Amino acid sequence: MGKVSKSPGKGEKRIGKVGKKNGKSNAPTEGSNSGKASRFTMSERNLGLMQEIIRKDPESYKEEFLEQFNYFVQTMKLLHLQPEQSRQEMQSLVDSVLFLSGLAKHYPKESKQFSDSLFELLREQGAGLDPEVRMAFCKALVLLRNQDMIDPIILMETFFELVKVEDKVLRKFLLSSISAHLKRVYHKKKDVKMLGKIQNLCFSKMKDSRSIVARAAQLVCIDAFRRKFWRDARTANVIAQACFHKVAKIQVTSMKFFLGSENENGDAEDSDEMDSDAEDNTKTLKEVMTSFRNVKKTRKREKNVERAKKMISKKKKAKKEGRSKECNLMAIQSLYDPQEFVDRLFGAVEAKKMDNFEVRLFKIALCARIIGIHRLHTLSFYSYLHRFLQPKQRDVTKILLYAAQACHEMVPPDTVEQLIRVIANNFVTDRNSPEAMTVGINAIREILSNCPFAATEELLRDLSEYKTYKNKNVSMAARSLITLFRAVNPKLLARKDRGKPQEKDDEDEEYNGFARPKVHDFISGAEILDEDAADGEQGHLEEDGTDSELDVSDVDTDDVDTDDDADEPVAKKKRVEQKSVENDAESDADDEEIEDEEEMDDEEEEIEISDEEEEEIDDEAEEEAVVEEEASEAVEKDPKLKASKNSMDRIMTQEDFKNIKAYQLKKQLIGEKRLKKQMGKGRSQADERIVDEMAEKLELKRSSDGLARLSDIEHFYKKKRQSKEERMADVMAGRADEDYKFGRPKKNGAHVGRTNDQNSKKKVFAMVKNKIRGRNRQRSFRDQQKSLRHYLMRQSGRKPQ
Amino acid sequence: MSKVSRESLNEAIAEVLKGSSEKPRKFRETIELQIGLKNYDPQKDKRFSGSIRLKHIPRPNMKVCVFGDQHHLDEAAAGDIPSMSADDLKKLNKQKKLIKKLAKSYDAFIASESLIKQIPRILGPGLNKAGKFPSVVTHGESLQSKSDEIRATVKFQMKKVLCLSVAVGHVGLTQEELVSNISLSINFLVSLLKKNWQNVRSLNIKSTMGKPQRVY
Repeated sequence: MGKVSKSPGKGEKRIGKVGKKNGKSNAPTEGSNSGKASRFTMSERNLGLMQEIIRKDPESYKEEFLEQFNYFVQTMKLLHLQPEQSRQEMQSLVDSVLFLSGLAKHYPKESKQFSDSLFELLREQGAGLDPEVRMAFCKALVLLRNQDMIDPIILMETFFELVKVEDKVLRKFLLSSISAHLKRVYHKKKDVKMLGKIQNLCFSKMKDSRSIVARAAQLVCIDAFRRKFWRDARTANVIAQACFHKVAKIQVTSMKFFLGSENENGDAEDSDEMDSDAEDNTKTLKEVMTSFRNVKKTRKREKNVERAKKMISKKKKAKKEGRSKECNLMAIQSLYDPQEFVDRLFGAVEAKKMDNFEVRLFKIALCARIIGIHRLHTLSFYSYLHRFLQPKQRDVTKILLYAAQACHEMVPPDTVEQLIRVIANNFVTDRNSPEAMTVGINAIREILSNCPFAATEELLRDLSEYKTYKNKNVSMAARSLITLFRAVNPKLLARKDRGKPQEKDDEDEEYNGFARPKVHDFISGAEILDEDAADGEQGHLEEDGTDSELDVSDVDTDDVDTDDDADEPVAKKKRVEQKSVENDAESDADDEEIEDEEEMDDEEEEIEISDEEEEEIDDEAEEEAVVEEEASEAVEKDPKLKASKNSMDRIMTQEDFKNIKAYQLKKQLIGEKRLKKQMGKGRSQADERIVDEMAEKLELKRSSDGLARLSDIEHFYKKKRQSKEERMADVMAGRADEDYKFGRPKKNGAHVGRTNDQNSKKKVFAMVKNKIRGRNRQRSFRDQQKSLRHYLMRQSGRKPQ
Repeated sequence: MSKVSRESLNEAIAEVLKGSSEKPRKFRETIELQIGLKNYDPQKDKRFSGSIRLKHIPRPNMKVCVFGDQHHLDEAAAGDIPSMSADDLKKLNKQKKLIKKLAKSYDAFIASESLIKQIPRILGPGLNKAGKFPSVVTHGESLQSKSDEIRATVKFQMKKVLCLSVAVGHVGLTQEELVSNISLSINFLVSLLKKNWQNVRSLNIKSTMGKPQRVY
């Protein structure tokens, strides 16, 4: 308003001028006749040129600028009175706005007035303006902002107001300009305070009553989170709050943000991290290779090394996949109160019957994912899912997936058991289609891989009957379930399915049973280290290295070559093998008993250890060496004891850990191999594939968020036969990106359809001159002789023969 | 070369013990291990967690409460261990405040096997939220040994920040006991990390009121 009050006196003077100018801009030829404003009119037609000139010397051209500015002021007044004017009339205004905004930084005082009047007009009559004019104004304001001429907060406020206007192009522009500004603030200025201010503004706008404003703010927030401008818990939580917005569209956007879609991040920075990981991996690969180099080469070992390589590359791949989900995983992890959030969200799912199926599916998905990641207790969620678990249900595979994702170790086993039973009853029966059965078994497998304690013997045996089902998909699904339980808990399987007891690879498990957290007594794998090295620091490195390599190769030969090594009195026999012998002996005894026994063993051992320790402490001063020997003898017998002693007595070095890792990798490989062997003569490639997949999956689970994927549930061993249309579509898709290298001439160009010889004849002589010259020089001696002879003959007037 | 030599560890522990004996406090100081990590992105890399049982109980005063069936209630009463029956729990009536109070007033919980499955249903998510979901105890195990086991167990869990600290002992333990506890926990921690020692920025030990001693 300052503008109006400031210039009542001036205004009258200007009017005449403006009238002239208005006329001029409408009919420029007329104006050019008057001699006085010739320089001005020259530039009037070419504002860009004038802008350049003024920019070079703003002081002396101030008059011209003011001229233009006054014109702007007057037109704005006009615009205030009647916002709807035709585009033609406004063209000159648009031009002058562009001109003024470009020069604003040279005339700060005027530019203030300029921007104020723009703001005012946009605020008051934003909706009524012509779209192009409006856009021009916004662009001018952005330009001013980039030159730091106006307060970005005010601008942002205005922009959020303008979002209301129904203009798609404008909205797009506004959003992109806001996030561009954020980027600028984040990268160039590193202005944390400003970033925070903008954040606050956006958050307050998210609560705006007008849904379109809220949505715009939400989009800005999501974009900023993804691009790391505001990657913090606060933003994530504000976005989470939007899941309860009354408008479904906003809810869905928020939920989609948390669930994440596959193709939305192509970060460049991923690559360098990949590199560092690669480095890490190659180290372990190197380990494997060196240990291979130093042993006798056999075909078997060669194969083993190949396998190890494959394993490592597999790991890499798995890591890559895990990365893609990291953004939304982080958002979910940074929720302030996940339990509260899920309860509320689930309440919304249950209560409201109105929203359509897709939205509800999103809500269920988000609930499931948060429950899975945070290990929450929302027990009614599982029973809620029961009603959807029908083969005919729409998107049933997704719902099965969500059921699998929501299961984790902390869910009471009986709840999970009910869920599994429902799936088994509804899906895995002979009257259903094979697809439904496959999907059902797959889902059960995923659930049980998340919480293996929920499995009951009866159900599992029932399901494993399907391994001989006539449909290949079903039978393979059942087999993969069996494979899972061979690794997890073979006692539940029928005796013939158990296979040979194998070493359980449970280093990374956190729970032994429901509410039975896994507690380590020592570092697993520490038994391979040489305990004498603890004291002698010098020469420790080489010694250790060679020793452990030997160890590794020992394991390699012993365990892989002989299947009946249980009988062999090998010193380095592993602990679980021993256990398994026990188990075989009394396999009918209850699980409980065995566990108890084992625990008893543990305790005994611990007591032993502590006794020894005490002894050591007492005698350490006098007869350290003797005691050590004794201890080491005792230790030789039991790797477990040795491991605990190792991990207690010394601080392990990086090399030690490397050795342990290499050893464990080997062990895992051997475990896989043995698993394959157990399948006996009847095993096929398919069985091997199952084992491979299982290993891959376990790896994936360890490295990323550990949630099941849709591809796990919809996994069919045999692909369905495609129809002709589908096949043709595949072919076409393949052709699209194929470049035709072979078999087909290039279609256009002057040279098409001629030989090179023909082409060369068309060329200008200068182009081919040198080539011909060169050719002449390469003539043989005889040819040269001959042509010389001819030449001489001709010279002398004789005819050459 | 070992990253932390035995001598430096011994020295640091001696220093800590000396500090606490020079200026005795009115309570038993706990000795804790503080770990700073590096090259680790808590947002991206998987958060690790693992528990290990130390040989010497680091926190003997930890309060453990038993949610027991009749058998365990009797045993608890005999052993003077705080206990609650299922009915007591039901009396809380799923009220968030009461459950929070319950969770606050004890350091850990154990529950008998028959009860454990109902606990989420009786108590709701409160205990889980506090990270104190009970662990199970069978009739075969004695409550005393189980609660000692829990007292001896320390959990390494990384949250949102790059540092963590765990109690590994108290000033009442001898030098040797502390050495074995600390080296076991250092080893275990480092084995949990993806790149082992390359992820460790610093290791400090300190008593509750004493000065921190840097060991790595």
